[in-house]
Amino acid sequence: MQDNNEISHPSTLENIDTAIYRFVDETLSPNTITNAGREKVNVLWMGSERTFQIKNNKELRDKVGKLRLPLITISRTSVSQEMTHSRVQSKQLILEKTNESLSARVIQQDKTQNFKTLLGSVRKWVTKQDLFQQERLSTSLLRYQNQLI
Amino acid sequence: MSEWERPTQPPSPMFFGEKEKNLVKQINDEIIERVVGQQVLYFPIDVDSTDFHPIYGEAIEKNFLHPIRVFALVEFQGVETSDMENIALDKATKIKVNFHKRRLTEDQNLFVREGDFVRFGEVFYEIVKLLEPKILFGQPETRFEVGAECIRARDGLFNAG
Repeated sequence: MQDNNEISHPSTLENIDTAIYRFVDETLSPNTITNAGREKVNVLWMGSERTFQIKNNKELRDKVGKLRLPLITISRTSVSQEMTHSRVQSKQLILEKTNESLSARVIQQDKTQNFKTLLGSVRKWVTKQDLFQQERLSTSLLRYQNQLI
Repeated sequence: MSEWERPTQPPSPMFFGEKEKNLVKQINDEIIERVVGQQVLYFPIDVDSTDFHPIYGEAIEKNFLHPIRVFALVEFQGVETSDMENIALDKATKIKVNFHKRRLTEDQNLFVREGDFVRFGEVFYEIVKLLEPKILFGQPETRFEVGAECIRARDGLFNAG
């Protein structure tokens, strides 16, 4: 049964990166067989500061500072917005897609008035196209690169 | 042992023993500290108390242990224009600090690491590369020089107050 009290995490870049890192490190949990037996392969996020690389995890290196191999590195190579996969949130279009018809529309005068007033005040800066774009739920495409060293 | 029997161990080096190594250290100390007199302030970054991001390994504010004054030979390598591809022109200032290893490790209990910062004059530099190019008397256990290539830290990267 699904736990309704589960904390939901926003889809920020930081959370997605963490999820990718933990997926590789904890879920995939790559192992290798060496002459010292089976060992877990260390997973590194690329691009951290020099101090962190040298001083944080001393097991990654031997006494002269050489990296212990094998090693898997992860880096986020690009983030791009994919408009082709975007969905439109307009109720009218959703109805069209699902072959439902709009039989009646109840106009709420006070709400309509509020929207008209708001649109009138921002029309100088925001074009109709911009408003249409804001309604779109665009998806972002994140590319990651894993390297086995 | 008879006069013609061969010893099991080779004799200790006649001229390159502990006393000679100490003499070299003493002369180097004297030249670096009393003749040349260049000094830097060494800031070792404290990775335990600094709040590094667990994934990205970056910290906006870095804590450091007590800064240590170190006498060293500093080569100023000038200011260079560098071209950040398709972005803009940039400037890079580099120095190379040659530390006396035995003076550091035995007398000052200091170990040079990449990522630490040094202050030379009024400017902070980050250590980006370490070299140990020489051994003394051809003996592998007596490396006596640590070269540190440093680049000038950008504003905001490190603030020692």
